[in-house]
Amino acid sequence: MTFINTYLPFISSIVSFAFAYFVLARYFKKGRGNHLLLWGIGMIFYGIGGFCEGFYGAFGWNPLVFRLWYLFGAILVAAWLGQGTVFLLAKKNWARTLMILLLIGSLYGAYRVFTAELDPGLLTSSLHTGSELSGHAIVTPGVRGLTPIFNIYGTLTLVGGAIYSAWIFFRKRVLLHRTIGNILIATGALAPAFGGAFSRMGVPAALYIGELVGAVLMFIGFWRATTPIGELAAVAQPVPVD
Amino acid sequence: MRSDRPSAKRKYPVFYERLVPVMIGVLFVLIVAMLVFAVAVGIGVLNFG
Repeated sequence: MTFINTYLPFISSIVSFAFAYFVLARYFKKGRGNHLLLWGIGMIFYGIGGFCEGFYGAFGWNPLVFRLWYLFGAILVAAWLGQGTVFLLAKKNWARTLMILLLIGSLYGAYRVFTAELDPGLLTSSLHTGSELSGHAIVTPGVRGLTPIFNIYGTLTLVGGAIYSAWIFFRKRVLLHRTIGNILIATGALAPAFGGAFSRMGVPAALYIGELVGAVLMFIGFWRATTPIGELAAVAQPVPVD
Repeated sequence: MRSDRPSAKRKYPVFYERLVPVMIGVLFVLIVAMLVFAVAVGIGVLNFG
């Protein structure tokens, strides 16, 4: 048990649940906004993932905790957050169709994860150190192959959507707080992806650090995007026309 | 017909005028790099055990 593999993911989990509460409270207050509902659900998944990682660091191997971590933390989180952005930016028909596909895919993923054969010994027999949770423990073929499909969809929609939104606001020079917020959200969403990539390459703690940085940046980004401030508002500068 | 009246061209504060396009460019490169990495791992070109 170390600070990195126990307290860090627990802190990520607390930040994620706080973020989820913030987003869902906004959803219920407004009474609409599928994107808020999906971001809230996505951050609950993020929090579950962090909690499972901290649990493993504190108490060791538990198959149920591992399955919950792999399903919510490794497979679903990015895709559900990204689906929120799809509801925000895409046409309703597209968003609904993709939502149905995501629901079916998520149920299939849950079935595969909860019926997979596990071997915790594999966590330490690869490049991975075993001090952090990793999909290496899954023996059944085909299960780990689901992860990149969901994560590519999630990264493209969440990060791509945030970059696109930031660009649109910047091009029109409006709503500076949303430009900044979307840049922070995109940066935060990329952090766990890079953490995961470095973790695959054997860098210890990279995933957990990336997840904490990601949760904090996305939380700040969402707060920034939804909270205009006067001193940062775009200023109108008269430019003479020749 | 030309007008002598000034038009309002909106601008962000100078700091953000410089920072925002750089950040958007960097993020765009990073997401492309991440997707290339993910596809390379997915098809087995990169294998980390």
